[in-house]
Amino acid sequence: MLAALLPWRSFGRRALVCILLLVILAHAAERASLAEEWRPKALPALTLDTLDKHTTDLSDAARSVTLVHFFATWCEPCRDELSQLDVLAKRYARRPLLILAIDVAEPPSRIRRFVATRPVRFPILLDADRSAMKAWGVDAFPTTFVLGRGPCPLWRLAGAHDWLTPASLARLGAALAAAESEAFQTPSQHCSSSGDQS
Amino acid sequence: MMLTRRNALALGAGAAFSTGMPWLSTARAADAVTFAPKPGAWRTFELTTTVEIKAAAGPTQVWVPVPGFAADDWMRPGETTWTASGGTVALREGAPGKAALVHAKWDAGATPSVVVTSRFATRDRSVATDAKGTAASLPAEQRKLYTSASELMPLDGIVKKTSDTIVAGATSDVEKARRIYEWIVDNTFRNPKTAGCGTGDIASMLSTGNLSGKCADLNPLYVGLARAAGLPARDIYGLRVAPSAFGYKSLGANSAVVTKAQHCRAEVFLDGIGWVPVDPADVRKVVLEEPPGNLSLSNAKVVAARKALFGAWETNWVAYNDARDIDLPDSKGPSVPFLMYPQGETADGRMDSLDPDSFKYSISVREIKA
Repeated sequence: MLAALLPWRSFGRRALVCILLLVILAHAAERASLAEEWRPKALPALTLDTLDKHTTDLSDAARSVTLVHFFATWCEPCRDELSQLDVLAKRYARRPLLILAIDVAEPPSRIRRFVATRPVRFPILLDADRSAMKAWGVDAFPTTFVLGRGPCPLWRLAGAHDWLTPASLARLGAALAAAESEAFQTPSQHCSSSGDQS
Repeated sequence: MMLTRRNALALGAGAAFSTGMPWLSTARAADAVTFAPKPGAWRTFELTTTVEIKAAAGPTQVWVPVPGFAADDWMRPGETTWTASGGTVALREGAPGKAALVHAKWDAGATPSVVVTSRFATRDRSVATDAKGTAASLPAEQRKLYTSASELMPLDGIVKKTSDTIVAGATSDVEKARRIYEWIVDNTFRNPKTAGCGTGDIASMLSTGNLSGKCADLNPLYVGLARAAGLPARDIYGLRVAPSAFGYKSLGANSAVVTKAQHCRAEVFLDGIGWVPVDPADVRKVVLEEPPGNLSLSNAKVVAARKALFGAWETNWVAYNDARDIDLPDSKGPSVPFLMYPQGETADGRMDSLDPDSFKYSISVREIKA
């Protein structure tokens, strides 16, 4: 009797595994779908001082894929996401990936203490008076904007995002490949084709 | 239906409505626990804030909030004095008519320090919300002020949408005010990891569905939702100064050193009744912190606090101000969303007011007995 049931039990186990995989894939797809296509009429301006007292803008973004990431040290999901962005910075060190992490409305001394315990390989920009946050229409932390070569707006990711899922890595990898394939051309003045990278 | 953060929020609101006021069913159990602040004798306190900046880089400024909020029936600010190591010191305001503060400035090369001492008197509050009263109406200018948006308190978008959902079908302002209170208690939680008292970024809380924080998050959320419902409301920033007379360890200052005892509260104005004290954040503080900790909403201590904190405050607490978006006088830095901590600024920029050990400040209190 038991032996007769075994194939069924094995089938049931396989079915269970399949169902779990479908759930996981659906979840991954849902996470990936958090990346909304973003097509503003004009790219918001961005000129901010860094924690190291340099002025940074988007001039280095012309030939890169750029992640403009808004965060605050008090925002718990931001902490994990900054770590993930640092993993991306390391993973794509030889590829045209530019990460600009913008801390909103916190004193520099607090941010210095924060990055002393969680070092990252990209610059921290200071949006002390929330002007950049307003210009970019950010209403929740973290929020990340992905810019393609140009820089051209690609996606807006409001809320926590898992950058290390296969879907996210594939999407970013495709954007990087697109940027690299055009790396020796003059950056386009128009971003109408940027959606192709998605 | 897929359960997303946003519809989970809506379901939470619906659940609260469908059960009415859940604390009522367990109110009898709370009879054994007393938390019932009533206006009684006035108590006078002296508050001393000491600020020292050891390695000041260039010119230095310090702004120390002092009791400036006055209310005939529960809060009387008194005299503020100071001593300083040189520099120039003055009693000023961070916002016209509001946010009293002591402003001290030193030139480069100084060793800045200032000691600010303030006296005030306060007493418990209790306002009946179940009967129509004859309180004076709110002047138009104040109604406009206390129904307006601020930098971190937008009243449109998701704040308005959430408020509309909560108060839908309510037939009176009292019902709207209470529904919002119950919604905050039911749907938010106190997060012990939140730095300081929180930031009060209520749109971000609602947008992300992360309804956790501390008093400066949860009570401003009440204020924002109330304002979005058309009810005048305000958050009042201050400091706990004495233990709770009702034995709630989580709701009092249990030491003479109150450097980290900042607490923000809320009021809503109801026509005919006047300003009504509310403090849903303290209900969530009781849930998290009252020994043995992590109490359920049906715990008698929680039920008693929840019942009382819509309409009453135990005023073992001093009110500094109710100002928002404050430009600190002569500061080169950005405005602060609220003023509850001492602030400092050197040539290196704004100091971290949430780190009283590196930006050296301490606050102590003593009661002045007659």
